[in-house]
Amino acid sequence: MSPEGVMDRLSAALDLVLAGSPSGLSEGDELMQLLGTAAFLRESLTPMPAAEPFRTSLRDWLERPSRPPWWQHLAGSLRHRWPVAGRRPAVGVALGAGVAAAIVIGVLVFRNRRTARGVAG
Amino acid sequence: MPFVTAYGFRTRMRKLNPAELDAERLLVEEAQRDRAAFGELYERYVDAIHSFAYHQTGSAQQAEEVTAETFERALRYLPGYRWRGVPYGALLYRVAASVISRQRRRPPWLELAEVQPSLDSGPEQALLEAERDWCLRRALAGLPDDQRMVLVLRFDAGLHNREIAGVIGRSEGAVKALTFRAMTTLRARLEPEEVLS
Repeated sequence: MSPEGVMDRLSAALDLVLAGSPSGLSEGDELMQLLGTAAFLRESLTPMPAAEPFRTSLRDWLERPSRPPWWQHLAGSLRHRWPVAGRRPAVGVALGAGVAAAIVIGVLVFRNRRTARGVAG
Repeated sequence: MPFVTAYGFRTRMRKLNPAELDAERLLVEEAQRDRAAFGELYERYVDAIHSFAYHQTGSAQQAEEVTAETFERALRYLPGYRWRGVPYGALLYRVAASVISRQRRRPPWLELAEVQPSLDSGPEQALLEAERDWCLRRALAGLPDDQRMVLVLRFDAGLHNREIAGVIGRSEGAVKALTFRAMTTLRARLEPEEVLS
């Protein structure tokens, strides 16, 4: 029998057994072993439904995907202590000034020490 | 009558009669107008898609990621969806298959996670079930992607060749060939006594 013929017979037998009917194959048929594998697969591929917390949270999210994350509401009073527009420049200016001051002080200290060493030497 | 498991969840795609198919078309159209109606489609298919994703990836975490992305994409493209006379679940399987294919490129994708065996039937039976589950997962993991997908769609999702062909974008003949090759390989890899016991 051609390979296509074997595949067609297997497919037809699977349709029958998966529908709960006899396979129509005789006892010594070469495909009976594959039907054994099919039975093992059908028995072993146990249904794996989604876990309840996951399915509920996914459904909630699908209903309102644009909803902000939960922490935004709780952190609201802290996040808006300062106006959002004014917060970042203020922090940036303070950081920049601090870094500039540290550089100036470092240069002055270095110069003073070198001068002192020169005078002493 | 839907396929209802012992857990009370639908994990196989229903065979819809013409009246049910028409009702599903109306539900999809309603969801296109009002996204709140998408919840019913979600409840109808979430377990089936999750089960499919789990058996494909072998990982509970990946299965949830795939399920979430599948429904998120389905919802995003719902306005442009055109009814073609097949259950909406067919589209969801196709999307899930696409998501899984993409995620496979991010190693490691197959964890061979162990299913927690039920202790209802006694510890010995539970041990046997766990061992059988592990053998099967190892054998499935060794199959080429397209062969594994065909088997899971056939035996877990309960789809027929024509429906599987629609999901994976191949001909019915190709599906038959993939099924035959996959089962022959599995037969050789699984212990004979395991399969026949």
